[in-house]
Amino acid sequence: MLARLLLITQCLLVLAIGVLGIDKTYRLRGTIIPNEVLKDVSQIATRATAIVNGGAQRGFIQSDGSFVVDNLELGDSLLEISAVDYAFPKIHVRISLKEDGDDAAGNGRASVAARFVQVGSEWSEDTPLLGYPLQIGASGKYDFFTPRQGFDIVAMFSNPYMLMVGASLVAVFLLPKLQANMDPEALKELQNKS
Amino acid sequence: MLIAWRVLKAVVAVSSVLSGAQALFPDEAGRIDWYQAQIGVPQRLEEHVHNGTVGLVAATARNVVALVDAESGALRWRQQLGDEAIGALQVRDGRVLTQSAAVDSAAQVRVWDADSGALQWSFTHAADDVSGGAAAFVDDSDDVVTVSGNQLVRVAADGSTAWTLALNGTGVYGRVVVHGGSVFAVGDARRTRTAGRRLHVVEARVATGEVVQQYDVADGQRLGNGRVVVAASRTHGGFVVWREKKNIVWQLHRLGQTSPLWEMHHAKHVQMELMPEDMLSSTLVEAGAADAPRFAMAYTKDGVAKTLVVELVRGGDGVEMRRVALVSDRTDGVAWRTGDETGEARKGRVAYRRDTYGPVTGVTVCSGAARVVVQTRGGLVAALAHGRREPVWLRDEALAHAQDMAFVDLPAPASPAEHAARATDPSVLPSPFARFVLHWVAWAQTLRAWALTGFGLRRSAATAPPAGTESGRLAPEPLAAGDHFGFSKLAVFGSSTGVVTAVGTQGGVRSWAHYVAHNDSPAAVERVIVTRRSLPVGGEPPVAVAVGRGARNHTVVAPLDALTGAPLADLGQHVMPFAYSRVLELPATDPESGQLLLGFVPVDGAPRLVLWPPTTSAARAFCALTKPFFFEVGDDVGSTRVRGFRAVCPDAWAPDTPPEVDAQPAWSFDLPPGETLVAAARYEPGGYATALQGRVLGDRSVRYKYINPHLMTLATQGPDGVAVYLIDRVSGRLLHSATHAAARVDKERPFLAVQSESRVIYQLWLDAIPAAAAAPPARGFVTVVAELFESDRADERTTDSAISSRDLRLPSVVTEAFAAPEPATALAVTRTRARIATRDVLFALSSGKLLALPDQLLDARRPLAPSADEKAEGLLPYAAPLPLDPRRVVSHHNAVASVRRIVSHPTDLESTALVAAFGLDVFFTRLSPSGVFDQLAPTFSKANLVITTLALAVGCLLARPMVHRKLTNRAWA
Repeated sequence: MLARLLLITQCLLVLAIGVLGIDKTYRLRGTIIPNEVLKDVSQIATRATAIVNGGAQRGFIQSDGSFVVDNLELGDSLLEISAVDYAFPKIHVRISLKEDGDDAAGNGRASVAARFVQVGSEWSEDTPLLGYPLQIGASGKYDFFTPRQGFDIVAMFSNPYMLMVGASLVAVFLLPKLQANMDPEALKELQNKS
Repeated sequence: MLIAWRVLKAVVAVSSVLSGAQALFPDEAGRIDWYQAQIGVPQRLEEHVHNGTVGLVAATARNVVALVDAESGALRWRQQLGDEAIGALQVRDGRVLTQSAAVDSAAQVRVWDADSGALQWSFTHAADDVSGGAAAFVDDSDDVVTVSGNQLVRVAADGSTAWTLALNGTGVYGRVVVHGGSVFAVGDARRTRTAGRRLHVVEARVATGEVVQQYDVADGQRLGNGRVVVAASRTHGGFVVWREKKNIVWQLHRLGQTSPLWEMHHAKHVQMELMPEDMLSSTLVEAGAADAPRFAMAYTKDGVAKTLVVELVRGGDGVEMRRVALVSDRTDGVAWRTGDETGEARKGRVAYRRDTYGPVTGVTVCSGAARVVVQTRGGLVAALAHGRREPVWLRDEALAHAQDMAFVDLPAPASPAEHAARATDPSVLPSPFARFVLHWVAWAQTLRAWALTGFGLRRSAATAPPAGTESGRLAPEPLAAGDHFGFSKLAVFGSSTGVVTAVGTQGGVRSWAHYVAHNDSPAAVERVIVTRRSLPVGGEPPVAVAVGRGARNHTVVAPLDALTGAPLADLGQHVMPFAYSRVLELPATDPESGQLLLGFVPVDGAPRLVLWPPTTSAARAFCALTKPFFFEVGDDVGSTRVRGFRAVCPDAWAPDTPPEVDAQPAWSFDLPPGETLVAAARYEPGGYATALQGRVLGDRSVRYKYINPHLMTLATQGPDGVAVYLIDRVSGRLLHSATHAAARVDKERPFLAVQSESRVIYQLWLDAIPAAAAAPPARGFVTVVAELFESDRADERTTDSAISSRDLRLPSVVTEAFAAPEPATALAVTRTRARIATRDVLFALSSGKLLALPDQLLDARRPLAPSADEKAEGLLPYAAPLPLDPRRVVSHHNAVASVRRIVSHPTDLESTALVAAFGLDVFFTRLSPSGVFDQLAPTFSKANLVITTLALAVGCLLARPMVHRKLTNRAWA
């Protein structure tokens, strides 16, 4: 428990250092980190942007994956990485002023609390805090296509129509053979029964 | 636990719907769809050479920075700067510097990697004064000197400022030049009572920011007036070149030089053919950077528009001008040559018609003069090379400025034999015997062609040009016929650059282009309306009418042959001496021309309708309508009142004046105090048509849809959030309203709405989505669906006929909200021929995806826990988020940027709809929301069919002797 408290305190301190106040608006820093899904982050530098609050603020992705978004206001915001090919988690960012007052320049010092959120879900505060500057990895690569099935002999013969044709062929060719091999008396008995 | 179980059930149900949808196969990408990545009309072009490859860095009117391959025209990378207009562009040592600013916002300085397009670093100016703006690299350093408003700043690559110089309001600075240890800020001097218009120069030391000197120069000039240009290069420094009004002499000033202060050179140094009157109408423009300062002069001589690119070189004690290139825009083509009279010249000539993309307005000479890139006022960018009679590549950037588009049906294809019959003796075509013979002749020709191509085994070796580019001909390829399924049509785009472009839906090949001009200026085309669709027996072509704003904001109407782009001979371009607020498609046809009537509502004066075509027969046809015609005004953004009017025909028509119809006030819808209109939506043409008048419920009862063709959606922003009103356009009656507290609409987060049948679907941003008390309110885009029924009870109809606007009963409205997966920029619904197939709701997402969701997901009646009847009806359990299923992203890997509008059009097959999305990019595809039930499935294997048939035939042949033997044996038995 104590370790957790220390971790949160440390995290908040780091957050406070990273946030710059610019005339009542704030700058958010983050980095897209490589992972198994997206190994080379430089490839999305021109195919992705960081957008906050639905596009009210935007930030470009640099070749190392880092980004900054300016002009954020105090309060809650939604950070999204908007990319064509990759899915990224959405992040609830809360910027709040620290209680210990202004810095040397008279600007209010702020801290950032960031958590993953899901579309259509509540912004729960039980979700673990993220470190700052934010480090975001791609959660998935979109696969836009359905593979087309090639020629498959098994699939072809498991088709119901083919099975019906097969059954008909059996009836036409094999049943007379079976009939020919039957005992004449049994055959006669069967014919009498029918 | 219960909620989790419900969510799980909803996810499973939604997954089943999505998995049943038709997904895209890899081999269909690029075959049934096409995509053009655009950048917009370049305002500045700079050369970038790296590892032996030459590229062109462009800053465009669509606020895009992009690198285009100079060899192929292919787009290497681009970055969109949103609403920030790019005021400065410089390329140096593998870096691209831009300075841009949105209206009334702080200027943004950004440095990009020229090879990859990735941002390297950025700097934001203080937002106290946002006038002007320029930036330049510091020599032998990563730093940048930038000016915005009242401050000149040197910024390091880490974003820190080395020094800041307050300019004390001496001017509005639009250029920065760094040379020889000094930085020069050049701008328009602040005007005083005693001093007139002129440029002001501030010279400061680039190391310290200390002012060296400041002075005025170029009396009577201001930046951007077409008679002054600041040309600069790394080695030669900066120069101000200008021509005084009504004076043919160019004047030249080297920045920082005070003794002598002026250097003057006459234009004869570079162009002996110029006459004084040619000079008087000339304009000076920037022409990219090179080793020496360059600029260009555009003038007209003997009816030929010419652009002369010169550079400044040292000569003796002063500076001389040397011709770099001369491009002549003639009526039948563009001729060009590079180099001066003394050096080795490269030259060429390409056929070009000025009425397709307008006159040549810009010339950029690439290194070594291997390429001359010309651009026209209409937005065509073409690279010309020595000895080539066609461009090496071209880009139609008018499409990046498209404002509207319409589909034009093409005639069904005819065989060559039928073509020959039409050309020689069309009278034989009605004969069934003649048609039978022609059919088999065509079949034989097809078989021969098939055999010549190796029975379809040989594929064309032609390779497709890079996206957005075309290699080869400047002249488009007319498309005369479509196909039997109606898949092949013409998509006619109208752009703000004045160009109307027709693109074939099969492959995206340009079919024709036409430049709409008024008084030598492009008319910004805002609407494209097909006023005659069908192809009558007489052979009258379909007509596409381009409506735009010309000089002095006059209304320009240009009717074009939709198959060739040629102006109609009988109805030429028509200019109405007023600005219009709306153009309406009237429910009447001109009996003479067979065209749909258009009505224009002027901005000024009393509301009235000005009819087009401007003929008395058209006016009489409109006044012969049996039903009264209503229209509304005041539905613009910012309005507080929407008014409805009824058209009233006059007793007599005044001769020789355009026919006008008076308007009688019918109703007025005043918004509540404090609310202003932010968006309005109506049905797209035919958008209210439906194949089912009601929804059959699980117990076999019916809830009838409320389908009112006059339904209109209004969205307003007020102190309490965003209010949505559904009103009737004939009576002005409020049918339904809803208020979304904490909702916000602005330029970045627009209100989007689409009306389809009995549904209104809209999307808006919520600052606080209601949540449980313990959790903070979430933020995000919400998609709201309002479904209108005639009654809240089943099997109850208001009337047996169509909904009447005079009926006082209100619709029963069911609404539901869903969480949007990503911000959208446009909404639409697919449209099929008979509306029997289901519909897909199309979302153009800001990330560049075009998402098609089945309308089953956007059903306002989705219950949390479906009952047995609701399950039988096929209702899905409610789930708040709309899924972003990649299999439903019909644009797949293409990043369709900044989509402004999506247009859907039916084909001749009920299953399939055409869809075009355009904005910055253009994307086209075909969609089959209910699957391709009236076509062979894509997985249908013709090879399997052939093999099976052959196998059966072989089996019959093999079995024949066996059967014969068996019959013989049986006969002997």
